[in-house]
Amino acid sequence: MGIIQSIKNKVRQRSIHVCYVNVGSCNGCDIEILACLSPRYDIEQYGIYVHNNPREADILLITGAFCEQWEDKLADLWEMIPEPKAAITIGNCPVSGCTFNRRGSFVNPPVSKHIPVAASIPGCPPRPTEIIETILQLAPLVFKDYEEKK
Amino acid sequence: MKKTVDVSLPIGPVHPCFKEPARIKCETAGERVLSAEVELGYVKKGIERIMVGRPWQEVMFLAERICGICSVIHNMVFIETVERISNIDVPQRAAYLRVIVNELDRIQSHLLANYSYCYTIEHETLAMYLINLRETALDQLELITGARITCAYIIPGGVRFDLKQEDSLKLSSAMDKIEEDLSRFTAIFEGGPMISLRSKDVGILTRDDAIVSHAVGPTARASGLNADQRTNHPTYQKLGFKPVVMNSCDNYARVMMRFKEVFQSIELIRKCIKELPEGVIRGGGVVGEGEFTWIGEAPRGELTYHVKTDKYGRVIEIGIQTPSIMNIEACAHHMLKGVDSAADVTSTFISSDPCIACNER
Amino acid sequence: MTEYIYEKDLFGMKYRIVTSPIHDKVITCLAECLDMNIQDLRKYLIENLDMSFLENIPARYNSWRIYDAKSDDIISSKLCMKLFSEYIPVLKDNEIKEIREKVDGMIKSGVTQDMAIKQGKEMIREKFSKWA
Repeated sequence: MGIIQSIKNKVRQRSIHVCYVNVGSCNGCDIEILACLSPRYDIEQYGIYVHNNPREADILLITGAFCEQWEDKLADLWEMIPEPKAAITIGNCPVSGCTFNRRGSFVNPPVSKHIPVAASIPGCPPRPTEIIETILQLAPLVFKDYEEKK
Repeated sequence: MKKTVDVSLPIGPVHPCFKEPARIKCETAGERVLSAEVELGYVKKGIERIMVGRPWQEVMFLAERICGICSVIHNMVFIETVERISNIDVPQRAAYLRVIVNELDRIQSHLLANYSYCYTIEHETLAMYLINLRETALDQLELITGARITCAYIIPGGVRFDLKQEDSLKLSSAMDKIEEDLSRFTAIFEGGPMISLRSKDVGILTRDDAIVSHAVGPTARASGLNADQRTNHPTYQKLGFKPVVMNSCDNYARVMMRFKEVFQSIELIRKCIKELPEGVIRGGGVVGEGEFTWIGEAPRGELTYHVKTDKYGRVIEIGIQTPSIMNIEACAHHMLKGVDSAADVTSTFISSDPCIACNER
Repeated sequence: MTEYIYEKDLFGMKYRIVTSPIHDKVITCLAECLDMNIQDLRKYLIENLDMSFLENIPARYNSWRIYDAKSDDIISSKLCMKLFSEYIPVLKDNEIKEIREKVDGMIKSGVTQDMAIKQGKEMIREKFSKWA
């Protein structure tokens, strides 16, 4: 591994841009992501920056049980994100549909059917600390030696 | 529709300012918005459909998951409807505890709404102050109910957990902290020259328009309508509740309205702690057959549940009308019309505190 | 409405909105009021209103009912004139005015009120079916 690569690995660990998208959740998980921004949890001290622009993002946080309108849009959104990238699902809904996955409902879980998912955080909703921890654990694994992997 | 359109400007569904996906389609001349439409369907889960045929024990949790921000009130109104169907009495202590939890939920919801607004008008300092203060309210909610978001605290005939003496002391000191900090933040909001430039006389919803579009909650009360369903609630009547009404109809009024309501909620909680009666918290009862419509006041406005149950306590018909339906519609067709710039479109939309998850269910 | 890129056919989703329990009651009421087929009315509403408006139909109907209880204009309230021009604006003001004038003219020329209202409903139905 070259020196440049090791510098890149170091830098990428400390600079993670996050975009979150709600594909049909009840808002509970979304506001827990927002709570991560608050000075108490202070997500930015780890170099994680939430700004919700897919074209700048490294990590896509997905909440919700996947509704019909997202059928084509989520794949588009995933395409927009530049490499290296990873998707993390938050809450039970993207994994199984949780309480909404019943006969007669309009949801179409799991999200991993539609785009590749790197990690899932179960919980209804998970705590902000769990969200931060997952991002911090996943990001170095995904971004390590990205150029050499290619 | 109109031929004077320069640009058709779609905003969303994924947008930095929106907590939730919605697509606003504006027709603009220059940057002036001539008309706007809101496209939904991004979080339509069909909850009303899957509720039908299920016992109330399940519907109670589904009702809570209609909206994660105002989950307590969805739980409360559904349970109160079921109680009224089956004539279940609530012990006085439980009724007061419900008010405490509901008002805590209102505090955190209003703080979140004002956080979003400040964030949208790029006043990040105030936004961060507010969302940090919200954590204090959530802590108290967790202390009483055991969960931050989906509490499932209220059940037919009472509540799940009692408020212990030391917890009520903690609650009082948290209320003192919120009041002290929030009066500082409100002063920042009132005094900020940039804030008043972005907020005053932007996004006008006149009283007449508010009546026609049936606006509810802080949005209606900021337009001079005295509409608050808490005045019809027996426990709130006992506490001597009086709604706050403002008349300036703009974004500034709506945000100030929420600040004022937080202070009011703090007073209500203090009064509840002081007057909290002794006794049991669970009365018990059997859910039976019947049909009832009950309206409660969510943080965003009036919330209607129409429930019909069979003799085993299963829900066989349910209709839910959430406050965001009216407020988003009023926002899209009245407030956004004539807004001067594209930046004001998002801030006006956020000022009406839209909750798409409520709206679509 | 102007053409947008990434536009999707929203008919199915809009139909889900107008068939939810509360909407179903209100739209059945409206269809009975106009003696028209409920599916035709739904179709007309879907084609003319956006999604947030469709969600808000029951609330707007309620606020019209409150207004209607106060007004003493029988013809206007029987034909739901204010409802379709202001509260659920699917017809234009001049169209409604035209219908109103015709109905008033009929009553003046000696037709009974019930008959004239029936004719008026027919005219509103025609307007609805024009685009359906």
